[in-house]
Amino acid sequence: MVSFRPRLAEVNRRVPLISVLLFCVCCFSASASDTNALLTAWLNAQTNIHTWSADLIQTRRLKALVQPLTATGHVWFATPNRFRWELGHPPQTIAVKNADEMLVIYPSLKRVERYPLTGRQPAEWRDMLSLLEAGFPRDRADLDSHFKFLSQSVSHDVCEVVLAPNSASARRMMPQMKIAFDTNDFALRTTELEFADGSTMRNDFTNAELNVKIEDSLFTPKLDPDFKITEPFAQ
Amino acid sequence: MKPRRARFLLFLLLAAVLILGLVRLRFDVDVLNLLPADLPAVRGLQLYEENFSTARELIIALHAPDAAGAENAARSLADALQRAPSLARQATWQPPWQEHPGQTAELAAYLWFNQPPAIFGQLTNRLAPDKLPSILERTRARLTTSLSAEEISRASYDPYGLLELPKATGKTGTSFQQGTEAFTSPDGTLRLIFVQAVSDIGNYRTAAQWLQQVQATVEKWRAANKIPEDVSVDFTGGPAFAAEIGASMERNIRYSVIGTLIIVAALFWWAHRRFRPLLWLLTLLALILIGTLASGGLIFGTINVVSMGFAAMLLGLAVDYGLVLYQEAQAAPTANARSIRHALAPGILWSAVTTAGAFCVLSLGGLPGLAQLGWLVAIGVVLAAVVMLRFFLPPLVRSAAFHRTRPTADTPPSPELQIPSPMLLRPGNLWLATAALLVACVAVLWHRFPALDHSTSALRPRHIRAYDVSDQIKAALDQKSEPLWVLATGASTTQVASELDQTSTVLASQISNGTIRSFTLPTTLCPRPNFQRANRSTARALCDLRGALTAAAVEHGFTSNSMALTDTLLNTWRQAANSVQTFYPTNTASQWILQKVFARSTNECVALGLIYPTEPNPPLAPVQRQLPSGVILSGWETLGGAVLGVVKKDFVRVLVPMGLLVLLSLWLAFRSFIGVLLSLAALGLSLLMLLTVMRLAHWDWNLMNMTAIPLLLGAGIDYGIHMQLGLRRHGGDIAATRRTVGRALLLCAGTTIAGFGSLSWSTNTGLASLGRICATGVACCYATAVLLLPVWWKSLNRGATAGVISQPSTLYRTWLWRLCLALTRTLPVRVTEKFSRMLASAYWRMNRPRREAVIENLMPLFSHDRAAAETGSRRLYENFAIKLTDLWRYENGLPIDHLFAALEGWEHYQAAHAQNRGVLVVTPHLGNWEFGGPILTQRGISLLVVTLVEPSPGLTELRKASRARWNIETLVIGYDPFASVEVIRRLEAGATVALLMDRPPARSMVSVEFLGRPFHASVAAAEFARASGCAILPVYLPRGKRGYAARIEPAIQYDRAALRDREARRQLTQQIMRAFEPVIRQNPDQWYHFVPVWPK
Repeated sequence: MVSFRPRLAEVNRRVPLISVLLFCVCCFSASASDTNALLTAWLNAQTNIHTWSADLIQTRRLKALVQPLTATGHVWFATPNRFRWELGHPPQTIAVKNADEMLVIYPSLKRVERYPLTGRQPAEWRDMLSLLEAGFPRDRADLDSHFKFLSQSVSHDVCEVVLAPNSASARRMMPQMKIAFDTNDFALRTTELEFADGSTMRNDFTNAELNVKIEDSLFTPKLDPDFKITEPFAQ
Repeated sequence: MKPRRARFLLFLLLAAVLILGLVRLRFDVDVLNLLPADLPAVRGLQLYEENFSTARELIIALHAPDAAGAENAARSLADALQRAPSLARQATWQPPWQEHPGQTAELAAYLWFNQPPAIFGQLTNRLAPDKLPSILERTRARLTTSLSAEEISRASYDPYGLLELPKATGKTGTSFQQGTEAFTSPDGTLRLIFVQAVSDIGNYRTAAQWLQQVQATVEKWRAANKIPEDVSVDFTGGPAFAAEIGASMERNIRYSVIGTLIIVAALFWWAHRRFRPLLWLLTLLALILIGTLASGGLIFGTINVVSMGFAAMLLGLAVDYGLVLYQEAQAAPTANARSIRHALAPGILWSAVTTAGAFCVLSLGGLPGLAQLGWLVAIGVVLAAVVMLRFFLPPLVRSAAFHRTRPTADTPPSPELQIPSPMLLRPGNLWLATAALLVACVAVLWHRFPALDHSTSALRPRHIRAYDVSDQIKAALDQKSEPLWVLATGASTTQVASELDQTSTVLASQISNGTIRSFTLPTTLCPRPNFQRANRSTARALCDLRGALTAAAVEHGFTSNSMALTDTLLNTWRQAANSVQTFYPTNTASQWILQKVFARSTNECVALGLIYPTEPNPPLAPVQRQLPSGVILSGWETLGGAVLGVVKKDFVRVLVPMGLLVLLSLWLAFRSFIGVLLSLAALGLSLLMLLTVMRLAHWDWNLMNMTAIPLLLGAGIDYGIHMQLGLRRHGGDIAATRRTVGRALLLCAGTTIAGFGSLSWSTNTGLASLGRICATGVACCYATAVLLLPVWWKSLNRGATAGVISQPSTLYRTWLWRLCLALTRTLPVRVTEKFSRMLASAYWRMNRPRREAVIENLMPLFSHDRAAAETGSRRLYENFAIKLTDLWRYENGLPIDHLFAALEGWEHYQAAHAQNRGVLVVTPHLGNWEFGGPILTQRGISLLVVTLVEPSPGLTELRKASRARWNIETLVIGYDPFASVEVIRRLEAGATVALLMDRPPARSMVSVEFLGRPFHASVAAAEFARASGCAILPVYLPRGKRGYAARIEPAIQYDRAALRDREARRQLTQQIMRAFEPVIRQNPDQWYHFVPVWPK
């Protein structure tokens, strides 16, 4: 006989780091299907990228706060799917993803959260990962499987595309996102995520560097022994 | 009261009891009730099913090609179900806290309020007005740099971090962050909806009705929303299991009972080809079944689904009694129903009692379900014996049609029923077959015996869609193994909470040991009245901080909306502080969580936790020993091992008495080591064959079908007993034994196999395997007993001249004879007589084969009325005891004149003697034939008695000496090859010679008709007449009321010259024997033959 046991143990798990993933999605995969020539050209330009890094200013407009919150940081990306993301000076949060896992490091708290990328993960986490893996799209169909094109506008040599995740669970958390890129050099300018309660998180990228050498050690951080490592999805 | 009226009242009373039993009858589909309730694993599972909503929820599994489709369909269907308030109290398709995030605050407030006062008290310090700015700054920093959407969302509306519960609470499973794993597969294409019925689902019929209503609602929803075909909806969970198992139970009973009845009917028709008896037999079987069910209702009230398997078994066993009665009625054409019943009642009742006993032994087997099944079969078998004996034959025997079709005693059996003896059944070939079977069995079993299944799969119903759906869900949800359950029970919440605390400590140490990987206990969710009482003042103090908290938040840039959760927390604390009773959360999300881990009734509180072991089936006993007495470790994964342990232990308890019972039965039946060994060998080979079939068919032993072994011991041993006794009765005639006993066993085995075999289609895996194994085992036992055992028997009993029963009793031996002579010399006559009669009566009771032989000998004298013959046999034993005491007096040389009452026909002797041609006195084994000697010798006539050798030389000499004491000479033929010559010489010399006619040695046998049947008489008298021309005088000495009355018949006239012809000698023998018929008919109970006299 089968029992459907209470799943409170699983309830204790931590949710995936949506913001990180969405950030990456927005940085590198805002090339959703579009018949528009600009978007197609931008998509084509992405295929030339091997590495990319930039400074960023992140602005969070939260419904619970009267004034927006601002933080600075830096991001590195290397094909096919590695990235490092730092927020704060000195970094308060560091997210590092390689092929097998993603680490979220809280240096001030001496805590590390490990999210294995192999095996089966909960639905929301899988949705986010699929978005992440769509970072540099292999083709249009690949992108179409993750995003739905909503609208596009061009102003002052900047093209802004509005996309919505196909996944219902991802859409429940983040109904839509915007990507803005330069129509001249196809450089990524901003990304903006809109959350379910109307809050937004905008990233403005500056000092972008394309195809410069990035040390592998950036994607394989050495963790101090006194850091406590947890695996939120482990039972 | 008139008998008819009394019978009518008795009938009414029985009918009332029957109806009461049937009304009281309930069916139980819960397999847990099959298992020993005192086993912690079972008790834990029962507690879980009784107390936690999860076990009673209907689970709707919704599959769609894509995650979005599945999610939309699940939401829509849950809404549709919720809109039917008379159908579903709750239809949950996602964690309630995701649907209503605001509701998390109430549970968080409850959990804080449930904390130890020291921890809850810390909140007042933490939220002191001077500390609020730093808290709010930290929150802002987290909101700025956090990568977690959930954290951002939570911190936005909980600036003081009140939803972050103390660290210890983390193991209670009270985080609200996720929980969707219980509702959806990782790929999102499978969605689960948990539906609770509005009212409690009492039994499987209610469950089926409710399930049908839910299914109808789903169909309407499908049509209304145009749900595509590729979206599938399946049902599982408690109500679905109950509905499906209950329905399949009804189907099982119907099919197995009808199937068995058809096979029984077919076998009866094949054997007898009579419609009315068949119809009556089936009617009685139905009544027996109803009666047994009603008895079950009266005794048990509720009968488990598995126990219902009794019905088919019972039919297979009960029909045997009807078949035996009918067979006997056919075989004894002149007997009436009463005499047949009288004759067969002891056998049938004994058989019923032993069969019932074998099934009752199942109650020692540790499984209540099987015990119930055993009791039901036992009740049914006894009821069947009584009903068949009382009601089966009378209406049939009264019927004229029955008499028209009743065969005579000489009617040969119908060709269909004769077991042929083709070349394959020749002894040599059967020995080869035995050897080949042994080799084949050993070859098949050499590497591996049938395995023992340690899992609980035997308890699981088969072909139940709800189980398949459940398996699919487990696979989709990646549930490789179930966690173990920790159930803390107690009379109060305080006790349960204390047990949880102790359990937590023990389990934490087990993590250190590596026994378990992790655990979850509802330590904080479990209400703690003492903590709550102490926390009331703190809660009030915190509520007083509301204004300061709001002001500080606004001052640090938070909107008034950001305080929504904090306000709810404070409101809940105020409510809790004002509560006199123990405080429980009330909103949907809180209730949903609480009902999953905590339950309370008027008498008991139960809390549920989970353990994740490091390996499957961990050793639980050491952990259990360290836990408080009210805490139970349980789980489906461990149930199989735990139950199997009990079954194994109890298996010995069942097997030992059953083995002893079998040995005792064998010894009582045979009183011979060879007989016992042969039966055990047949049983052993049958079990070996069964194991071989199991191995070839890939059947395993499991905790249900292990009980087949004692059942087979009880049932299978009978065939060997019947066959061996049959062989004895038939003097080792294998063909005759197979034709009679084998035929009866074929019908009985056929119906038993049908009864057990019909269970093979049961939806319960264990019961089906039990039925399969019992049916196969019975078939093996039958084949071994009927085909092989007779050949073994014949080989081992060759030296015993084809059967023990053809020889005199082993009690007839020298030392015992001497002892009896000595006792007769010393004890008073009355004491000796009484003692002898008592021993004879005991011997009649205890030595059934000998008794049967005597009854068989007497049957023609009692018009084939077995009951009368049986009564006559008993009198015969008693008369023989008197005869022996008189004989011993005679052999001791004591006076015997007073024992004689009369002497008739002396003139016939004088006339014969006067002819001077020798007198041959012939006599049967009637009365006290030895007393003829003294009658003659006392009259001055010398007598030569011709006898056969006695069983031992000492006895021959002893008897010879005794006769000599009375001046009687003895000539033992057998010692001396020329003894016959001596007899002829003496006769020619005019001597008187005495000779027994009715039990000749094989070399002097001649077939005559005697008492209407073929008979082997001694042709020696005719031979002596031919050789010597002597006078032949029939003489007999039956015992009358006043003593022995000797009668000498006139001499038999014959033509000496004609006696050269063998047929003439046979006719003379016939003439002599006919002279004895009237006196034997008058004194059947003094015709002393203890070996079969009628040729086969």
